[in-house]
Amino acid sequence: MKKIFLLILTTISLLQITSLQAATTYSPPKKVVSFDLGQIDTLDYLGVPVIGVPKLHTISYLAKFQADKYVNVGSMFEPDFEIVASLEPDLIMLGARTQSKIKMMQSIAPTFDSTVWGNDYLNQFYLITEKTAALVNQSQLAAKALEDIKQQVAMIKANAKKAGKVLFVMTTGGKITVFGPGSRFGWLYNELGFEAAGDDNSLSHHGDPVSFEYLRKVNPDVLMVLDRDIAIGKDTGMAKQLLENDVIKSLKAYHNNKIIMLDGYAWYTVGTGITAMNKTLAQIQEAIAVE
Amino acid sequence: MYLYWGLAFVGLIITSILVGTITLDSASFDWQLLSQTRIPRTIAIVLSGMSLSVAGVIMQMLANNKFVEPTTTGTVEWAILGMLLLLIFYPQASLTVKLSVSVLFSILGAVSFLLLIKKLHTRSVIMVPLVGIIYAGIIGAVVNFIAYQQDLMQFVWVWIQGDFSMILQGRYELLWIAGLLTLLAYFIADRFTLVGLGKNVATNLGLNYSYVFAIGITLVACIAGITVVIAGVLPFLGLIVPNIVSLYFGDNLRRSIPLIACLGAMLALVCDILARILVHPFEIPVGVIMGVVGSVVFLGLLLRQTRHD
Repeated sequence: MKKIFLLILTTISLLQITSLQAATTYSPPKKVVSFDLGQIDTLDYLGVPVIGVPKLHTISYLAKFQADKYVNVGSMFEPDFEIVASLEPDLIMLGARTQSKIKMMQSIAPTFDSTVWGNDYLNQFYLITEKTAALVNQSQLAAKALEDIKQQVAMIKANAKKAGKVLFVMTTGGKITVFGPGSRFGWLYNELGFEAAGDDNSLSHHGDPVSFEYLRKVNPDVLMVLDRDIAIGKDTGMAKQLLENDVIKSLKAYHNNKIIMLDGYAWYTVGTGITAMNKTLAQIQEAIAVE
Repeated sequence: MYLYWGLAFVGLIITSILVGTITLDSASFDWQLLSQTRIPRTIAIVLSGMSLSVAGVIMQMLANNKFVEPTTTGTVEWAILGMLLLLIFYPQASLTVKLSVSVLFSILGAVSFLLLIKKLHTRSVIMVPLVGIIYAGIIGAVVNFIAYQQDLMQFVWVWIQGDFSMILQGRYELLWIAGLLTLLAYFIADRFTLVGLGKNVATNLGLNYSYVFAIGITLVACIAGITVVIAGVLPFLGLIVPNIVSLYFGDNLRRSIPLIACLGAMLALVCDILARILVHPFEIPVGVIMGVVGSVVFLGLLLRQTRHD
């Protein structure tokens, strides 16, 4: 009697699908809403349809999500809970930018937190991608894509030191900020093996504002520029204007054609999607290719 | 006494030229560095500091109140609004267009504020700057709203931050216009002193009040508009410098404008040198330091005033 009672109890608790870090479903979710651009990217790569996206942010190579058949669920920072609830999704995915809203989301549907932040960026990315693929039963396809990416990473690592000193800057609003090994883009140095120019080890995730003098002082072999304005879809032309000057022209990187305007959307806005990662790594490889 | 201040001024200019991310040593005289970044930056700071302080004192004469200046009364917020709209509708605008729009909107800002306080009947001297700050807040909210809708929030507030780190040879020269306007203000200083005595007194003394008033607004708006486009918002400068000078030298503008200009330039230099030193080799935007220093001094001046009321 007691055993049967215990059996029933455990079955009930097993059947309770609680919304945890990774919602476990037995069949792939049919209606997925994603606030994380990285996962929209990955799901698109895996051929899984998504019904709701933050249309404000799906631009550039994700522009197809502007079509009417996709529902606009608000922005990443201000999701529209009503619309999300009305869609009755089987799964909601959200990332770092929407993380503060996770409790509300969990009350609507099982929620997957696909945040990738901080140290060990690439490993976190692999893990999240594998989890996402498992959720939608596309583990094999994802595994192959990740294998490709890992190979690219290995190739870059092998050649990274030859590229010389690298400086990563972000331009926004006509100002330049520098990101070093301790910052959110630190994985460029820590995991892709590049040598950092200058000695910035700050943990600031908005970067440190610098003047042109700093660029001149550091004089890196490779200058990677991320234009945040273009990355969020506002081409103000300021970055180009900013960098058309004598100080930049006196840099080593200018003479060697190693000033690289990064694909801001892939790098910064999307970041942790399979296509985004491919684009990012391809651009870096091309940039450091030795002629 | 003036000699010491003069020496201090020259000393600050030299310090500004010598301080920066790259440490200069006498062995390698890096002329390129000096001419590309250091000297233009120093000149830009001096011109901005000078012209904003003088713009402040002119606005104080126009408003008949000691605690107003372009950055605390909505003038600058209007300029930001103009630039934001320009950015949204015509992002490839040339610098001249940007300056024109900025000046135009600054005129709107200055005029609207001065009209606003004409309606204000109050015995307290503090009401006018408070209304100014509220008005600036309202226009700032409009700017925020538009920026938010356009997903430009972070962009706008970085863009508008007072900062001399991006000053280069060839990028700041239009600030000389602000400098010339300051000189013009000096030449017609007496008229502004009269304006500061109030409309009735000024007219009785033979001044063409409306005419001088209009010139005054144009000067203030031009200076504010130009400095905002090239250097960003440098808060409180036009407020604290004229008040400090007025404490010791009175309100005769012919006498005090040169002093205001010098003190303004020196204060701007000090703030920028601090901006370069505090987190060397990185920079703190000078607008932040001026905001901190300025607001403390502003509070001190206000408290001093209330003790007299």
